[in-house]
Amino acid sequence: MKTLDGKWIVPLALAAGLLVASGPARAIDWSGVQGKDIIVFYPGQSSWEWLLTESDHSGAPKFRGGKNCVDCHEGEQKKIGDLIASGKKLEPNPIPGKPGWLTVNVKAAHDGEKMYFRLEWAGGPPSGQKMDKDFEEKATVMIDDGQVKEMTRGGCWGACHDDAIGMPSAPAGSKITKYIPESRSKLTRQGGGENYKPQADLDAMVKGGEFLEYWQGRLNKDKPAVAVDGYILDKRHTNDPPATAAEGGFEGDKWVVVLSRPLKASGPGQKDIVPGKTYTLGFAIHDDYTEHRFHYVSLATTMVLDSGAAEIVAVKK
Amino acid sequence: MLGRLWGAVRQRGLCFTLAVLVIGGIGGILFWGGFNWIVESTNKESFCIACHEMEATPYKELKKTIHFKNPAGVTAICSDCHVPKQWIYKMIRKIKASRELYYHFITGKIDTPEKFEKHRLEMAKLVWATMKATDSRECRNCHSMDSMDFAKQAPRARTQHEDSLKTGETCIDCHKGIAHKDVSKEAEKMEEKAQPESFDIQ
Repeated sequence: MKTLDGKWIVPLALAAGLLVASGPARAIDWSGVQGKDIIVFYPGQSSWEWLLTESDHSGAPKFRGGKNCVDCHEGEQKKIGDLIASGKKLEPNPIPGKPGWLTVNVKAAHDGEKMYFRLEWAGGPPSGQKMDKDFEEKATVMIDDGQVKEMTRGGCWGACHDDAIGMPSAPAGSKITKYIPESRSKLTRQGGGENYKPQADLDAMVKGGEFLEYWQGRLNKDKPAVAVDGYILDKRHTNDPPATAAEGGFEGDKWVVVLSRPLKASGPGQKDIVPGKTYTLGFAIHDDYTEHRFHYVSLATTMVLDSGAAEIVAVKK
Repeated sequence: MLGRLWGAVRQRGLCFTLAVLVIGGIGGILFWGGFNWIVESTNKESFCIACHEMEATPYKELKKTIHFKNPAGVTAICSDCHVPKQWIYKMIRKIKASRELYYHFITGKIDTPEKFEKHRLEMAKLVWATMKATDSRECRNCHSMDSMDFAKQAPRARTQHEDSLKTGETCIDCHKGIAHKDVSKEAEKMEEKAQPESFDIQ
């Protein structure tokens, strides 16, 4: 009988720990958790560079002067989404019949061990197109703990750039994914391109927690949900295996997904989620087999554990 | 004898003075009224759009906006926005407007829609600069910040209006191109506003 070499013990223990951590979420009784309806709207090609350019976005000086997106646009999400989805602005390839916005009911809770998000929404009507051939719906939560000022100020737009896939300044064949401005030495109206900071600087940023974390649940009717997660720094990094678990699917007439992850970071590219700290969240829904920028996005929202001044309070269950 | 003569002269002088005063007064009133009637006539919409340059382009654009037609039935005509109400400023504006007559009758600078379009940005910038310099005086003839019910405004409008009280921004800073074709983006594209030097934020 073969025995395990001693050198494998630590990696195996770590892998086992990760599997346990990312395993099926303990059932949370969501009935007592108050949900918050969040409007996610269609952003088209509105990039970080677009929103900071006054000739494109008249609110640019206000934003530079300290106003956050929500300060001016809270309550306008439906109107903005309708305008962009119609193709009248910021969308050169409108999807016929695409609604400008969706409502996502968000519940957040923790059990002292893990953090849980429950997202529930009704997708838009089918367009017949399948950009993503594998998954009908995807729900994503972007998380920051105040380390990335662009996220605090502008939510997910802090990671969305003009040279990313499908965006106006994307070079032909480009595979540029999301990234944060601090990962580049210089940004222009066309984005940060290849102006990467030295790898040592990027490594230091990961170590210092200067990145955005994302948790995503990929869904199909009649199939188990698939979790994907990672962090965004110089590009979108994916954890393999994921630290996040995803459960859910199509229930009745709505999509429901519960995303969970241990409160304590279990590896690089993860943030500890602790009481007393305010987190910035962004929510995104890719409905109707869409991918990349053809999604719905929320403005930035805030979250605390247990109690405090934030739009979402994750209660202990 | 001398006293009687002096009395007669005084009486005639008084009559003369009175006559001058009465005739002058009536004449003055007629002149003043006539002058004002002429000035006010040049403030009428029908006067402004009598020139085809105005009727063919800016007036047609105005008719599509809320400043022309709205649920309350309150309409702004050309002079409401482009001619000051205060007399001295009004006169200055009228004198400046004589230059427009020169362009209309002599050079035909904007006498076709194509020519108007060619000079639109230049003209728009002049109007914006004037409005900025006067703290949007003509806007404020109808829109008073003191009378605005911020609580009933949309969130963005509320925020911006409240901020403007602190920052000193004026109406035209945000409300360009609201009564005619908006060329503010074209103007900004020619400035640094189209290619910012930095994309860093505080």
